[in-house]
Amino acid sequence: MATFNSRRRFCGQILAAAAGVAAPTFSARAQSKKIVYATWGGTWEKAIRGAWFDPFTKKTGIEVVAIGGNTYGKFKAMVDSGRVEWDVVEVNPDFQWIGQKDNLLEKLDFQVIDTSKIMDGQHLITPYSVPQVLWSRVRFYNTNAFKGDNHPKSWADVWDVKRFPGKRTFASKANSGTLEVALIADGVPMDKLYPLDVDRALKSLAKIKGDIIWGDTNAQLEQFMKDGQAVTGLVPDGRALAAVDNGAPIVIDYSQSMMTWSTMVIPRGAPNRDGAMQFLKYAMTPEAQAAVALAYTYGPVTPDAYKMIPMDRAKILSGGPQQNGKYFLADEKWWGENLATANDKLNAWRMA
Amino acid sequence: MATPASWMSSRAIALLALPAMLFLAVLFFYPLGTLIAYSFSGSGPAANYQKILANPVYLQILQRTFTISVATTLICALIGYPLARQIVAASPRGRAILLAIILVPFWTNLLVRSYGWMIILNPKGAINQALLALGVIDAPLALVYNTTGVLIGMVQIMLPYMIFPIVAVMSRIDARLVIAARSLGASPLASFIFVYLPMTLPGLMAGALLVFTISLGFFVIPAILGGPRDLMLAQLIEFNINNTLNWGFAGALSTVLLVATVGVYLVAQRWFGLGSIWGAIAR
Amino acid sequence: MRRGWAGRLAGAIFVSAACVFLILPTLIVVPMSFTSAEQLIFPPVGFSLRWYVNYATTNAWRLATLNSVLTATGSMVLATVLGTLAALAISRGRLPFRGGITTLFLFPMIVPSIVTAVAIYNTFAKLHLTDSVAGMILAHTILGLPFVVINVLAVLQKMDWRIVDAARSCGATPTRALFLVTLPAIMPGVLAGAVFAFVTSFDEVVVALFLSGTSAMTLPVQMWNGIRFEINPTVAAVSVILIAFATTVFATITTLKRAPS
Repeated sequence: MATFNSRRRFCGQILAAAAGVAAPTFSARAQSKKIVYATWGGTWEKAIRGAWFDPFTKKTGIEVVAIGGNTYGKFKAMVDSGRVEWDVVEVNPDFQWIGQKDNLLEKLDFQVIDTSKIMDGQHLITPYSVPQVLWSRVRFYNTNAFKGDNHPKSWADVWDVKRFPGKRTFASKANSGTLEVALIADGVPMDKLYPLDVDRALKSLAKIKGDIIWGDTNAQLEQFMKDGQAVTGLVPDGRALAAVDNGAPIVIDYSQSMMTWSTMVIPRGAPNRDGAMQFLKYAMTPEAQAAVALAYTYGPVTPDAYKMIPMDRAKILSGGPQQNGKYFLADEKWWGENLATANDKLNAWRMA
Repeated sequence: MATPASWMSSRAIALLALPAMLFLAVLFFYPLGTLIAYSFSGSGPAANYQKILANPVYLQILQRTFTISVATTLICALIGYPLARQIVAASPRGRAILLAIILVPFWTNLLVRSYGWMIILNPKGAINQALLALGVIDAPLALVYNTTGVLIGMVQIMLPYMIFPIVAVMSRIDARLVIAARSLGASPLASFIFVYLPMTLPGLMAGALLVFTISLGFFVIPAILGGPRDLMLAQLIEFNINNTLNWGFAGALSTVLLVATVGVYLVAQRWFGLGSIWGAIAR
Repeated sequence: MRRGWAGRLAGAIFVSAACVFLILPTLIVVPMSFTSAEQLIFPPVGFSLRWYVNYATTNAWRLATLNSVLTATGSMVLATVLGTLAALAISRGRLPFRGGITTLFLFPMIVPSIVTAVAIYNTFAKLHLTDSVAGMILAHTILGLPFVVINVLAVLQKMDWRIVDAARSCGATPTRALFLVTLPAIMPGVLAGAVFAFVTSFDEVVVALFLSGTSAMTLPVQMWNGIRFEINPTVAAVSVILIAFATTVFATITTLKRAPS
């Protein structure tokens, strides 16, 4: 029976508990109950909500609020203004250096974040960033245009427009792998690509200039694959897989593919820096990596995750068995430092 | 012309501009000034500007940007003026329908519209299929990923901006003046050129000004519908702001764009002085 | 103006062609909004209303729509008021450097929106105007002002000021003359400017992207969400809904205007 006294006792207990909790840790609690995660959004956001955010919240009690609009311009504007709203941000790997140069990033606490399970790879981890997931740029070919065994099997083949006629598609931004595969087609071995000889790559591209249809957005690349405007080319593996799911008559070829990754950073002045570190620690565990690889067609950065991924799934992921020994890792540091000049050269060449 | 004293003192009227001016000064011009000032930093005060002048690609891009904008403006004027005329001459119901149709593009997100054009215009798209089936052409026309595609996309977006000001001005024209001219013996063509057209000129100028200026800043349409040669300045500025974080250079490019645009305004005012917005004021 | 049937036919064909041109991409998008796939791809895959359902039931989309309507309405009103007053001042007031001042009012239109976004972010952040509808309204007012100024100025050219003098000589105060005589006379310009201010705000994505946050997301920003991976077909569904809505409004207004007589 809830008498006045028992209620008073109950209230007293609550107050005591609150007082005990309130005094030293009140501010930390208020701060640690949520982090803001800036994401590219879309179906990817749905995937990481299920694979990362919800399990993380269950484990630590820290709520993850997702927000879009993670452009570099807004990142810099936000940090420069001193009122940072984001705690963790997804970025392309070139930002590992571009962001550092402008002093926009928090140094990561590797006492909290365990990076021992992350695969070996040049520049994957920096004092300011951890890799998020792996993805690749792969070659595809259209099965209506190239029947049976008569399809391009290498970049040199793609450069052979006589044997394999039709339009080739490449993404128009300089760091989309276009220059790298142009060099490979010209005979440069995959382990000797960097530093890129941009002029040589452009000379190589010039040989097929008239047969290139440039993709400025991922949506365009997918449209080209679906309706056959391009019969081969270099595209992100996620886009190619989505195109296949939507009925595009293409096959994905992992030979001579370019592997790269996406990155997570913490903006300098983030409101919940500690919560952000906790999140990154969670995301770097093989369990979390396996979960995200099952939810979206990206590869885990921790090889141990493959123990938890069935073979059917593994063979369409970056870093999976089908890609073993057939790829080169993009040198994102070179790109972080040379994007501007390379893009200028590519634009000039495309406009001529 | 009535004297200002009969309404309000012209000083008082001038003060009406104050709220807007203060508003812009604090929230727009001060921040913009900061960014422009930033463009003078770097390895030297003029380093960013020297970079623009040194590389012919940038000037090429600037020139192409202006060319595409001028072309868009001309096409919009040629299509928009007669269309405005039809709208004004239509019945009230017809007018409402036409205005609703003109506003339809605005309710369609820019991304969706660009994507729609990409699908319609590509070699395997609806237009080419139709023309091929009708036997009008033998091979698909290159309607997209080139300047044609950019112009088609931009004209579709810009037409309403041309039409509305013209309609607004046309609806205030006293039609009796044209009838008077005709009754005095002028041919339809002459009464149009010498009576009607000059009266509608402020609307045409306003529309042209809007279309030209907005076109200069476009980057979604040229990116999705254009080819390598259609790289416009705003795309380059966006790249420097959102990819390389080279804000000093982006600021310099913007300043160059600003100066060039104001220059074009001055030249246009000299040529079209009579009837232009500022020309009429100066009178 | 009398024209023969040939002239009228040519006119009708021209108008029809122009109208088709204006709505063509939207027409293409209508079937694509019924796709069952998770991205906008042509030809569409399957048939489903899921994207319409998604729009109606997802909180993010509903909130974004509300924010967009609030922002567009607010910035339209503010821009129209400020801009009309400014245009009146330029046209009739004794302002030094009228041409220069007019040009200054056009700057928000000349400067690419990405530059405006980056430039004003810092100021807006310091004034706590980021991630708020109020801030979004102010930012879009900046962008909408030039449209109002240009349109009102254009109509002011044709303004016969004698009617204002007549009103004043009949005893009207300056304010009454302004509201009862001047404003109705320039109304087409004011309306055109207001429409542009509204639409510019409603469709604006670049500045909105910078100023948006967890609470102040607008419709275009929501549409660009996930653009790196796919174009969400909800975007197509939203466009169809908006057009249907706008057309219904127009039809209602037109019918209502004709009813009394």
